[in-house]
Amino acid sequence: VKHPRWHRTFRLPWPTPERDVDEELAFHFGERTEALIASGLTEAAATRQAEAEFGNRDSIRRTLVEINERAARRFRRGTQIEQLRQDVHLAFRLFRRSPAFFVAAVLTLAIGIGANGAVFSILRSTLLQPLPYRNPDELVLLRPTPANGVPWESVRLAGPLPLTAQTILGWHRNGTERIGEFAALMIHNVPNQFDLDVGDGMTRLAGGLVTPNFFTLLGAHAARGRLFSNADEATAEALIVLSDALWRRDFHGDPSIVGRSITLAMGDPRERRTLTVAGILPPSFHFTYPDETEAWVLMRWSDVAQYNPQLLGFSAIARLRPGLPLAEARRRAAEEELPIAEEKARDRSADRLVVGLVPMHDWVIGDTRASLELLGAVAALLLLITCITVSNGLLARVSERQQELAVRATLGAGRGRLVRQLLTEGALLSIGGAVAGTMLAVALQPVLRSLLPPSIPRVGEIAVNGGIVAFGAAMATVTTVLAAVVPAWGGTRSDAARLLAGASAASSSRSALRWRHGLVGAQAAIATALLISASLLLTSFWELGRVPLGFDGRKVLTVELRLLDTKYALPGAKARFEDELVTRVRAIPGIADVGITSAVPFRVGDRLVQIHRPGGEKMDFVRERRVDPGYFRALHVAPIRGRLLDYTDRDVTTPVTVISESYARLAFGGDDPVGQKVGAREVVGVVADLRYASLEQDPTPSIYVPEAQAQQAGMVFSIVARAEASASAVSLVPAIRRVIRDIDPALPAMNFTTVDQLVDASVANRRFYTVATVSFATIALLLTVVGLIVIVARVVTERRRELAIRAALGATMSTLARVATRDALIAVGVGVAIGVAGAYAGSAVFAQFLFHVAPRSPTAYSSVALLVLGVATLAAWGPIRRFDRVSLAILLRRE
Amino acid sequence: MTPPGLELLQGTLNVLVLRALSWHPMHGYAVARFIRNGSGERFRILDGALYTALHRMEELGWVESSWGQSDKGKRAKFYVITTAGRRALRAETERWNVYVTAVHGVMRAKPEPA
Repeated sequence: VKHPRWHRTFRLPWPTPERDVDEELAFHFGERTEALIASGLTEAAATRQAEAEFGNRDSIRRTLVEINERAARRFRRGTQIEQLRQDVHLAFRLFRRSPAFFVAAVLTLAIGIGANGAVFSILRSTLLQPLPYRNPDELVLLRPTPANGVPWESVRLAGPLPLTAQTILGWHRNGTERIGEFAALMIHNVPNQFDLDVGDGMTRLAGGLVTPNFFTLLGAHAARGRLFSNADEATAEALIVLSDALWRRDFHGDPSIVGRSITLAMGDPRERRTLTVAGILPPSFHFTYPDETEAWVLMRWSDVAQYNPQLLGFSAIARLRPGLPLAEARRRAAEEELPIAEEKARDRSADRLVVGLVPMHDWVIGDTRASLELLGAVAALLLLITCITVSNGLLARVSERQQELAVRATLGAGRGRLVRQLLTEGALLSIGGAVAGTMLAVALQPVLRSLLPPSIPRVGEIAVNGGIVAFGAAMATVTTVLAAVVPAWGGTRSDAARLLAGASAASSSRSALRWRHGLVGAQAAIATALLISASLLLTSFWELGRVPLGFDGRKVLTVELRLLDTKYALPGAKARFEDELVTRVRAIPGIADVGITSAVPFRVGDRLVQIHRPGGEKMDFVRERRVDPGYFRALHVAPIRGRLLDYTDRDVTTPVTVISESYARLAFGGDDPVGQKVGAREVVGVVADLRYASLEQDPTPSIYVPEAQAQQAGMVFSIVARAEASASAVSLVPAIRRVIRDIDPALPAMNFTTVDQLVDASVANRRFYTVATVSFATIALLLTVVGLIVIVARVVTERRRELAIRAALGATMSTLARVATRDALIAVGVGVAIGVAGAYAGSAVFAQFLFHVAPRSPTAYSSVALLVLGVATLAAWGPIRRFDRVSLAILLRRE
Repeated sequence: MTPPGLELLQGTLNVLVLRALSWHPMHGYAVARFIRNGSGERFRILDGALYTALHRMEELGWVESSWGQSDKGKRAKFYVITTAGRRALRAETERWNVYVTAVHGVMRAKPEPA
């Protein structure tokens, strides 16, 4: 037999097993039949004998095909695993060769992934995770809304605007089937703070009254005992359900409390009631964010009927009929499906009121949604920029590995193989970055949680769990794609193709450099956009700090008191209490001034009243605050005109008032208001506007009436006490607490804080996202600078001969620097332009986060652009400085 | 091969095929011809079993295959023995020799006096 010529080329790609087998068998039968014919058989006989000698041809053919298919599969898998093994091995070898790159890349990715992981854990618990109820999407809050569709205030500030008993009963009587089941509740108001005697004093609990169907409507289940149900309507027992937190704190987690009775002081005026504990809620139950209601008391529908029909103070939630779209439910609600009874209290709005439906999740998240989304967007941009940084690093290494890649290309490694190699490297880096980043996110979480403003709802639900690990894995995939596929595609296209074509390494690396310059440009674009946002937010924050408060809240301590006990309802009892309190607090060493007010600045609570405009028909909405003369002194408020209130303004003297500047302007225009009448009161003075609840809202017209002359004796008030310059406000707390306990041991003193802290808390949310954006933008700028330095260094290395020759020919250092940095700086310039354009395009969305600064402020845009260009220029010159004329000369000689 | 003939012992077919390929690469038909001629056409082997053995051994890595041209210029699938195949052939040959010697020894032995 002659030795055959080998055609290995036919081995790959693997031919289909079937064709292979058929061809092989056909050859066998052809040869055998031919041999038999040669030995003297007829063709037919030869064919028969060949078949007979072979056996069952069909079954054997099937067996052979099976074997071959199995082998082919194993072969394919084998080579893939083998290639992957090689790639991983090579990647590790490369990392070992330059550990600095490996560490830097992993850390960069860790920053991006860590920041995103931390932000994700916030977003997940607040925005993404459904509320802890059954089918939470069906739940809505029923809220009176003007029929013209303009809401009064933001959803969050307005809260569950109250409905009257009459309205609630009307709905209950007529049914709300066309929309869904509804439940009524009373929360967040004075009568629903329950006083519980815990042995060493009274605790005030955040309580709520709910109709029997409240918990079943939410789909909540008891952790112990039971919750309320419709069957309770027919019973008479007073029932209470405790939150997990209350049960653990004040009942020490004692399970035997279920079924026992507890006594609470509740209502206004206070009365003691004995209630049976029906059950304990699970820790996962939340309803009122961020301050969870602690005790839920059963309010039967028949109890609702006992209230004054005009009483405002009920809220309502509903579960929409399954499958009913929100829009349709809204339409039905507006079309008098849920009529609001005509009420006296409603005349503050000229518009007819209808019931608006607010999805529960919107209500819970409220105004923080936008800022959380901003945080997410900023974090995503940071991730992008870290990916680009690593991407650029990988590309740099491609250029440095010209030699190796050229060898591999000549040995037959196609472009696909090179791309796979880069992808493997990128994936390994990403996995490293994801692991480090996830650990960073987990480590950062307690820090982040402490930074979070308490106003962000559901902060308590933020937790380290599997989610963040899954997120880390997802991030690893994303970063692999962003950091490795892109450079693999762009960086090897030119390289591999040219190397295969035998081009010199220098020319191929030049086109890779173009890619890398592009990436630096992209970094500059993102950094510019982030910095512009950061600068606008910082300016807003600074502007906010310049807003005149109208008062001086430093060193002013405030305590809230609620005189709910029946004894204070006696004539003169409250005045006597207040007099004694003020006198004794003033006597505390370290106290400079003390006053009493119905509402402390930045803690809402003013009464909104309607007053006829003097000499006109028009009615104005004005905030009315009851204060004593000490109030203005404690807060350092001076009169602009006239005088302040005085202790001589008693209930027997002329009713007087001090009005705010904005009300003076509104009601009296340019005239001097002093001596004129507002309602039945005589204006004695004008003071500057005091901010009410937020620095961002314009002050509303306000009037101040003397506590001693107040027609409605409010039982809720606060002390404002200014510490002397030498004393700290907080150090006065124990002394004030002692004074209160001395006067009335059964009176809980609540909410000790300084007015300063109240102002501060009002900007906490803004401060949080401003700090986050500014830090992310700074990291982005740093990464851009690093990317720039690395690429200029590369250019200098690659063009060192050219630079040396130019230097030898007498070029100045600045000329050399220009040559080396030109491309990089052009890339940055284009990037800055794109970043500016991007920020400009997004400014409409961004405007909602700004205060007293134009979203397209030319100052912010141009200063950021100059900053980035300036920093880039400085950074780009860095690698040049390594070369002075002498070293270039030495270099030239050596080469 | 013309039945009836000698039945082949289990596993022996592999040895014969490897032995054929140990000379030089062959296509399947050449292997069949080698065994047929070498045994004087005394074995009762179906050609189909031979191909099955070839493919199984290829899966085991004892032989490799590739397409080439037969001496008559036709496209044929050639099998070549691998290092692993040679190792297997050596082991099998060794076993066969031990077996034959043992059988041979028994056949020639006389009983010892009781």
